[in-house]
Amino acid sequence: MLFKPLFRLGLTALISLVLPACGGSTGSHIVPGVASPPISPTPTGQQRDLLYVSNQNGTVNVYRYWQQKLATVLTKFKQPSGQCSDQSGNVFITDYQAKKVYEYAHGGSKPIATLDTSPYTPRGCAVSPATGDLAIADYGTRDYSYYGDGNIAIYRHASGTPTFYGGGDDNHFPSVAYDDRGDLLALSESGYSGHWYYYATFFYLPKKGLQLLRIDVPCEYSSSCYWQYATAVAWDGKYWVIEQYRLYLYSINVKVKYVGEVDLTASYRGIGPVAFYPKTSKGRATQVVAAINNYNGKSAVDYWKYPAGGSPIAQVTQGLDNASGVAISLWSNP
Amino acid sequence: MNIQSRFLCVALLTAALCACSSNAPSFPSAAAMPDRTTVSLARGPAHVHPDRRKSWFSSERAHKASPELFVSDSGTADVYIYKLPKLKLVATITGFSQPQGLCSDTKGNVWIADTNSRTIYELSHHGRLENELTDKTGFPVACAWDPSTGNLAVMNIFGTASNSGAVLVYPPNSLTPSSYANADQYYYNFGGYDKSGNLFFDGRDAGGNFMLSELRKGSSSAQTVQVTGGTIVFPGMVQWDTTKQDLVVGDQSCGSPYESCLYALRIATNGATITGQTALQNQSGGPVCDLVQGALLNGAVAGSDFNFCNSTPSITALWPYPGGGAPSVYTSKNDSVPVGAAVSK
Amino acid sequence: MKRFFSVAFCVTMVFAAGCSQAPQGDAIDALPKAHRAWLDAGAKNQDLLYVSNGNAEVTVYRYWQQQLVGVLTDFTEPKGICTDANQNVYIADYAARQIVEYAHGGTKPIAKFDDSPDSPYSCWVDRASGNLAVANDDGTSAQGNIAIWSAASGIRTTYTDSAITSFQFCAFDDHGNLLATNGSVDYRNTTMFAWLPKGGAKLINVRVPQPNPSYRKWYSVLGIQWDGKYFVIDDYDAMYRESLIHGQVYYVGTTEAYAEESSGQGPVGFYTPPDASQATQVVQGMGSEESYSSVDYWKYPAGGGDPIAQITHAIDKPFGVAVSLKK
Repeated sequence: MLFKPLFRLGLTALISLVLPACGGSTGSHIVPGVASPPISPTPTGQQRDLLYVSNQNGTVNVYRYWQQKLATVLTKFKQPSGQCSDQSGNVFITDYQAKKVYEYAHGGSKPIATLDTSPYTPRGCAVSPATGDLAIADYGTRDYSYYGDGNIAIYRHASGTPTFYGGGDDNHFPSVAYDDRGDLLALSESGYSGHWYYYATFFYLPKKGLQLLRIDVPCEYSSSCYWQYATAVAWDGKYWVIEQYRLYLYSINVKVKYVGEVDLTASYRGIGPVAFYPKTSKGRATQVVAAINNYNGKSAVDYWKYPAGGSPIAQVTQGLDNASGVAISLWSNP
Repeated sequence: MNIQSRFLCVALLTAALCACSSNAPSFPSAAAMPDRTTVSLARGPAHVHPDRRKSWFSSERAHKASPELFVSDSGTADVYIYKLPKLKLVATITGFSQPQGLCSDTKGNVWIADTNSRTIYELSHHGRLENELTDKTGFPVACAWDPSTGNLAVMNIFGTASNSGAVLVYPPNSLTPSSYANADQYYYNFGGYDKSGNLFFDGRDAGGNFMLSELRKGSSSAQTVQVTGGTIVFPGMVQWDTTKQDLVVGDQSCGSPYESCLYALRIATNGATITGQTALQNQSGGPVCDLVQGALLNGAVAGSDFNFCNSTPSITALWPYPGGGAPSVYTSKNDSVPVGAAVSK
Repeated sequence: MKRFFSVAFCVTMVFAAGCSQAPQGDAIDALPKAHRAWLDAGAKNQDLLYVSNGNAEVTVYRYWQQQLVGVLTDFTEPKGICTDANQNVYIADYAARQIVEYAHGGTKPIAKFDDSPDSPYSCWVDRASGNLAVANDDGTSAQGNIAIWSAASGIRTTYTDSAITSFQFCAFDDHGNLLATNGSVDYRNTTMFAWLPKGGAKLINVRVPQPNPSYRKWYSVLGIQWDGKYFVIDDYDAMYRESLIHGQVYYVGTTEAYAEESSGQGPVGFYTPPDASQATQVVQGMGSEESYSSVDYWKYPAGGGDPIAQITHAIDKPFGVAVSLKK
């Protein structure tokens, strides 16, 4: 007898998810036949892959990734910053001002867990496909001095009390990424407190590492590079990605080796942090998405073929408000 | 309506609604796209990294773990991984500064003491970086893994304050070592643990004379071990031979500055006695010039001949042990200064 | 008019005599610039500093007083200077292709080492054996080498290195190991180092580490010396102490010794007290774009931001410097 109301709830939920995604004629722009799911046999779950985008107005939009349709809007954030997802499709959303990280089930509308990161203001996050560890890029504290020192906080199995790395030395981390082995790459804006300038520094934490290791990242032609404007780091399934207007690719194993570059054509103001599809250890990504920085224009999230890059193949604009972070959550068979 | 029909209805509804809302795309044309950002990165000074070869892995490595020999080269600043027993090169790891002595544990992990960067790198059996330890007080040249505790001992040839070296012992998963010394020793070279966790290490005193020392398990300082039955001139490898239950010590200037050999030492409470000597030959039948560090295998010793003595190339080889003599297998690389060796199982 | 000129001439002579510290002993030309070698007789009993200049003179000073006590001439292009255990002084004459040896405080050569067809850039004497090593830089016309004269037999042996086309500097440590380099090279080449083991048959290329482990390349090496305990490699920025142990070179520490307005022009010279194991002072020829020339002194290995003493008198584009102690 108990099943009937639950089932009705479930159906209602399903309908409420489906209807808004299918309605609305503004906002979703698709180049037909390009961004739709591949014709080759794939699990039907791929239809349910989701794209999470954080907005300046304190909401996080959830779109159907392949259809670019708004599925739901998560609300009540103060300043949602970055997102990341794990192997099961759970999504973690950092809230910079609330100093919290919220965990949502794939497609869920209410958090299933909350991590309190105070006194630190979390910006980026990443989940290790190898261990399930959750790394939070803490930017600072904003309680005293200009920003307060940030750190990388690693939560074992995405819960409990974290272990902190890299605190002190005026480091402020906007972004962090894991590779499929469980090695970690972090970007820090150093020297920010009390100065009008900062410089980007990179840190590596190998799988069994005990401390963040400062690494020098070379350019194509010289071993030293001007990295002041790096905005994010990511893993594309095969290579580390450093974003500084374009995507610079590296492999790291003792030596940091430049591999190549990918250009993503976007607005002249560049793009926010990227997210790769697929984002797991199954191989190199075939698409990449990012919010494009159109401060005076319409906020949008573009899709590109990867690693080809070039012009976007699709775009999402519906319901966006100065979008910043993006994350892709793959549907996985529970 | 039953559940199945309800579901079907919703499914059909969904399909219908989705289908009818596909719009024709109104996507900005390429011409309307704003110019893409071009950034010229200010290039720093033209510091060209001399070793621009990328780290590479042969496809063989994906298969089942087989014993490997890791060899460090302080000339190219690389670490080579050879598959045993044929010494087939399967990987070159780049990015080091001055890699010297190596040591390994029972799980296949290998540590590399990088002297100039004062870092001890831990690589997995597959040559992936796993961890880095920093040496804040001296210049590390070698290491040894303690099977009884999992501790890692690091030998500093000398200190950063132009002072004597020391042994740093890092507990597992710790960045902070404890420091141990033999008050009479200045230079600390190679070391090896016996099965009980006693560390034997060699080096020289301030006058340049060979020394053998022991840091007994649980002790707070190391003591000189008197060596009788022969003279060791320049400190080489130190490794406990679990088969023969004795200590193998290398001499990099055995008989002359242009020869290396190995000694087997019986350790007793009152000192060490040389019970055997192994002479090694190079690929041309002459004496091995400089075996800096060897690694014991069953019935063999693996390592490299850093040949600064004559024109035959430096080789990495396996020699019969304790018999010595000609190498049973060897390989050669160009322009290298091979130093350390460790077996990774 | 006539009177004016004679007065002027007189005044000039007075100044000339005063400025060049009229010696007692050796004759001196009446003209201000000496054409014949001279050295104060009393200089033999002093610690002396020898400097090779761009004007082909080797000027000699009392080390502690920075006072000019002599000028050695008859060089075509004197470059590096080195000393031996007897405090004899060897001057490499690059263009004349020979090394000329003087006794401490002497004005006449006591030996000449014919280095032809090679061109000697600098030299170093092995304290224990007395062997003289010379770094030969034959430019682009020929392969350079290290030439070593055996003190025992007088035989000259040359050593080449396929990776190094010219040698500029070399030094022995206290165990007879030689470390050599091609020094300052143009952008097409790399600064490299080679080791000749004691009694060895060949030069072996070795890597010399720097304070920053990420830096593998050396630029503009201006000298290799031995300070009693360590090899010292100097470049435009600093002096680096390195330990060569069994074919491996270890970076030990840095001495920063600089002066405002000028920079080091070549190898350094060390003052080591007779019973000490390591030098306590270092000197170097300095220059600047404004034709400024001096030889500056610093404490060693401390170095410092200001020289503790300086010589400018009769210094003209200095290169080699060497200290020869009183006996």
